[in-house]
Amino acid sequence: MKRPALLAAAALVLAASVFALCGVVWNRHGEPEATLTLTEREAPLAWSAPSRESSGVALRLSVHGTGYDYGYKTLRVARARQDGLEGARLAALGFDTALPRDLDQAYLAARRQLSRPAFAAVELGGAPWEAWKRALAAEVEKTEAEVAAGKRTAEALERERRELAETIRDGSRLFLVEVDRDPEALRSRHPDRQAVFVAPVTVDVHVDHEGDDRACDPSWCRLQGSVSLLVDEVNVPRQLQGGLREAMAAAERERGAPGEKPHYQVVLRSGRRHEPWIEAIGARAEER
Amino acid sequence: MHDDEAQRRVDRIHAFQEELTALEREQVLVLDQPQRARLAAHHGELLRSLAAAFDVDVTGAQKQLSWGMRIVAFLGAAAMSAAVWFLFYKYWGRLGTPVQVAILVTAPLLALAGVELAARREQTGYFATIAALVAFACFVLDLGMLGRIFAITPSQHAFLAWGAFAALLAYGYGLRLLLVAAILSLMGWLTATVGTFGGCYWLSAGERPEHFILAGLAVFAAGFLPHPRREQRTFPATYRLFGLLAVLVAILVMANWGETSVLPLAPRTVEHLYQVGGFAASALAIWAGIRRRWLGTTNLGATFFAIFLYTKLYDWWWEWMARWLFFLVVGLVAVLLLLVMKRLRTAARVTAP
Repeated sequence: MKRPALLAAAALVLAASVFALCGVVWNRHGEPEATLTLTEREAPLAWSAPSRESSGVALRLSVHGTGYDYGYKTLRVARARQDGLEGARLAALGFDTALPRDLDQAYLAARRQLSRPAFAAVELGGAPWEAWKRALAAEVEKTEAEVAAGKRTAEALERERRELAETIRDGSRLFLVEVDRDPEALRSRHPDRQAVFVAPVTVDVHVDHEGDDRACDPSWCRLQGSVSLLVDEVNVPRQLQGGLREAMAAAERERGAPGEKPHYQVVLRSGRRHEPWIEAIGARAEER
Repeated sequence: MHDDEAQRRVDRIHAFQEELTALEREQVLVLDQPQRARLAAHHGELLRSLAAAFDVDVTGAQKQLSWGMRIVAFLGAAAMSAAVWFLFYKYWGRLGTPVQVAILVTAPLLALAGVELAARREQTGYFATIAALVAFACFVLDLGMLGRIFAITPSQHAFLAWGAFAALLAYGYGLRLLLVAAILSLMGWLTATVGTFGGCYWLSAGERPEHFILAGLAVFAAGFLPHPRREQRTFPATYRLFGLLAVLVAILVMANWGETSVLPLAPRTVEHLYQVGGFAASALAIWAGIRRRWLGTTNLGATFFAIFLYTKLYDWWWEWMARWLFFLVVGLVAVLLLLVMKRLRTAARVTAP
């Protein structure tokens, strides 16, 4: 029994590894599904590496509208633009969007729905980026009006302006634009392969409720989706780490200097299975 | 004869010697000197030959040491596996992709060669266990890191491969620790796969404890499969123990957090259902354990029966009872449970052949 078990275990190791590698070859074979040129703004160094215990280097994909960048401000501006993932879009992903009238029951109904796999179209720059800048500018204008009315202080306005300038200068220009079960359908609606990549994601739901009313009325209480990339870190192979190191060394020298980002550009590709890889990394580049 | 049978023979000899001493003291049976010498010589020779041929403990001190060796083997295996992981993590970024892949694929194969070598050189299986767990860790590292290096979309099917690998080593070399690794991996795969039937993401399937109940029952049922080979004699008990553990833990979770259930009922109703189910399942485990002489099943059932009881006592009385009274009641309940178990034990003794 020992020898057959040993041979079977060895065969299993080889078969599973070859199967995984064949998937990688299949993904990268032929024309890339998408090729995007990102910068440090969209692909900063991952938090996980490198460290004292791990020498691996990876870049993190920073996408507005997904887990990492779904902060308060994003949420507020997204809500103002009425582009949330809700209603029919969630129903199309398989979620039950009908909420009970009682708020506690509505929260329970949302919690009981498990996250679902899907695909997301992620766009670099373009219309979402322009709309985002306009929305941020509108926020500043609103604060200006509030300052003029004496509702807020000049310091608050100054802080908001500084944040706006920093966001426009350093913030990611990758935006989640649409979610669908079918990646091909997404691609057909977003055909620009230099600006949009399709990524596997998971979608979770929660109740978006405004006001103090304990009732869940559809006009102020609805099911809202949040999206997380399944692969949000991309490994940097050793042969590409040199360019990254040089860029980061330059960043260290320029630390604190105004307008320091971005320090590098990244050519990101994804293939037939929508799995990304880094094709090239170079020093500071022209921005789109 | 194999190790277990040899150990039972050694235990019988010791029990016989103790009983003979007692009978002589009570003047029921007294052997004359030549008989006693012949018996002592026979037993001495038998113990020596058994100790030489099998991995048996012929003294109490040896028995204690065996348990120590099992614990040390487990800790050693866990530490060696961690060492392999951290070693790779420390240096992988400095290696080119082909070298990374080559190391990841060959490491489990080399560790497998180590398992075979250890099993040939040392019959007790302690060193084979360490090597096998390292091989398992290498295989987990292999698929996990291939996924990370090439940004492969995570899949639950990796657990199937890991489970099959651990099961092959467990059955091939009679290694119980690897069977535990196989059971946990396969339960993870089964839980995730059942969850995806409803359309959810596989990692979220673990948020619904009912999925673990299905996997636990499947593992428990595997305990009924025939395991004729001598080195697999402990496997059915391991299946039963881990299968039952998964079922009872899942029920315990839902008995306290009803909203995690898939049942379309109010959380309180779900909790009440699973509280009743928890008492029934643990009582059933005690009954089946006693009836079929499954010691682990009985003990696990009794433990969970007590846990279900104490969590209910906490729910009912913690808020309004004085602390001293609450703990007094808990203590009295423990005494009551002991009396019930004592009666059960006596009944079992009476019905025993």
